[in-house]
Amino acid sequence: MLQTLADGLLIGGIYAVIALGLTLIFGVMRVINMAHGEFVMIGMFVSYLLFSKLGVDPFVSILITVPACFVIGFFLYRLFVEKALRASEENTLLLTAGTSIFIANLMALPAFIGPKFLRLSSENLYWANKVWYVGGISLNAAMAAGFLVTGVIIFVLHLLLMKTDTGFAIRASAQDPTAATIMGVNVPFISGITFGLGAAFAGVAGNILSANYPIYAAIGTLFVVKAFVIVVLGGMGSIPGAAVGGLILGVTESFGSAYVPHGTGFRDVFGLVIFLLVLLFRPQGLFGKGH
Amino acid sequence: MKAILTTGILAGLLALVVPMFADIHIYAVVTIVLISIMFGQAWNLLGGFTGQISFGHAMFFGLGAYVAMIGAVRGHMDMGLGLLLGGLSAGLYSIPIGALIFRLRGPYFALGSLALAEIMRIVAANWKSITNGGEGMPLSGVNTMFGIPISSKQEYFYMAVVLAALFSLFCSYLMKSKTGYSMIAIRENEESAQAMGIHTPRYKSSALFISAFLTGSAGAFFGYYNKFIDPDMVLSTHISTEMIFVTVIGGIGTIAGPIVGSAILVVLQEYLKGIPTLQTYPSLYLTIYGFLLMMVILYLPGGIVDGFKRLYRWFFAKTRHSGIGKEKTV
Repeated sequence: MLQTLADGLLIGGIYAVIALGLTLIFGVMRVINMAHGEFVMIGMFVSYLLFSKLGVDPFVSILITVPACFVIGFFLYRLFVEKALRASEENTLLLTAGTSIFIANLMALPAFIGPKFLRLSSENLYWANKVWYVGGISLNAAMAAGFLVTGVIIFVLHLLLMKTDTGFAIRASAQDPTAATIMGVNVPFISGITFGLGAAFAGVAGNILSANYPIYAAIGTLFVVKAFVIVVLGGMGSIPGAAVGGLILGVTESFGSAYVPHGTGFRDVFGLVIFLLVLLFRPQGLFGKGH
Repeated sequence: MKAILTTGILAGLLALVVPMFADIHIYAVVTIVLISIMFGQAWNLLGGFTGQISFGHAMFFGLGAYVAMIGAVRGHMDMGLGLLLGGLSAGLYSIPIGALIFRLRGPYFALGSLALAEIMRIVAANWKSITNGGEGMPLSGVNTMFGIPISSKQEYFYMAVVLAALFSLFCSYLMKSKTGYSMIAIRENEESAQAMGIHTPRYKSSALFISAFLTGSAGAFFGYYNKFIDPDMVLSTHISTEMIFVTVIGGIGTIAGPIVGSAILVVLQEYLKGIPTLQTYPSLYLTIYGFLLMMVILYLPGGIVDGFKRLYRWFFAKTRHSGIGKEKTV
């Protein structure tokens, strides 16, 4: 029981980081980034590359993933998404869906991941099958460490948004882009920064997941759907909503697959059922302020 | 009348010209184009004309395909009946779905529909006793359409021509009716439409029902034609986005849009697939395809039909400028 709860919270923490990036982007630009999952995949690939070539630990490679995903996200926004944003909302959805096809298939080329499943080889990996015991509960070490990293990240994001000038500018752009522009905020630039930040969060989640999950080019879809569920669950654009929504999804999945007969195959359905219930009774999300 | 004439001429030309090449590969490509036209028109009714952008229409496509395939495999159901039942079950399924999903608007609607389709895919992949799970359902033996056996690619091609023409005609007819105008009013401004006395929930649900019905029928036809379906093939997000792409790239909210968009996108995909240098790696052509999609959305935001119109206007304006003197005499 407690074990199941702990497992659920650990994976939920990772989901939360992915959703946090998505909700940040939506909150500022009203853009749903359909290519968000691809950044998780890029993070996993960076982990794999650095680990297999240089023996770098996946948690250390976060230092590389963050700037890499940030730069890709920033330019993706400034070069493409910004232009589509001028046309209409569905155009940005489609543009990012096109980007998702582009990135996922680009990475499936042999120069990158190729059409195969990769794993970090287990002999040299510090985290391989490593388990920590805390009060009689066994925790997967990589996921537990990832959970701590997640906590740090959410704290840093909070500081960034609340205490720095960039944070003020991001919040101002989210509230009212026109007023922010009048006040001297370079809204397109800030939007680019936000998009980059969002992408970087997904990348970090990719690094953490790479210690346990297989790495393949199409894995982004798996996580982007979960992130969508969480973001609607918590209320779009709400950061606490994303954090709590992630934990709820993780715990639901974990309990569903442990206690419902034949539950493991339907693991991904349980979160979606919660999602439907929220739609029925609270369509604006748990932390949303309505339309 | 004009719509009937145009569609009739187009369909007739296609039915005459394609058999001249009598190449299995060309039949296959054209049939896929026609299937895309079917689901593009269906999606366009809800997404283009009513303004409810759904990212989950694969659930109706897949449901129609599974109903038809299960009927054909277990009960040797006639294709005519299968197309009808596939559509009907998708339409009926859309009623509870609509009750849920129409609580959401805009991007929330898009995400909600996507999640609902994902549920269907996972359930289909796991419910082995009904759907045979991830292994998929093959269809063996010869199908009959109203008692006439249909087996060759050519016969399926003729069927697809008729169906795609019917779908397009039905949509153009519907959009000239009161229902159609109400749908457009809802797209433009839901509150105003309601203030004008349009029962918006009813029209939104009927748009969803018709759209789901047509998508389900298209799915049923795809199952018959492909003779094999599995959850990833008919229920994945990929199918939902494909419907949106053919419509938006052709021209959202127009009858010609899905036709032009399907023709261009499917042929482009097949062309890229056929280039020998791109065949070294299977994902290379999709990489280029994805990039081209991005470019079209960026530089032709109103779709290709709109692009043609702009080109025409630009050209027309130019000739009129150079012919000012002549105009004065008129």
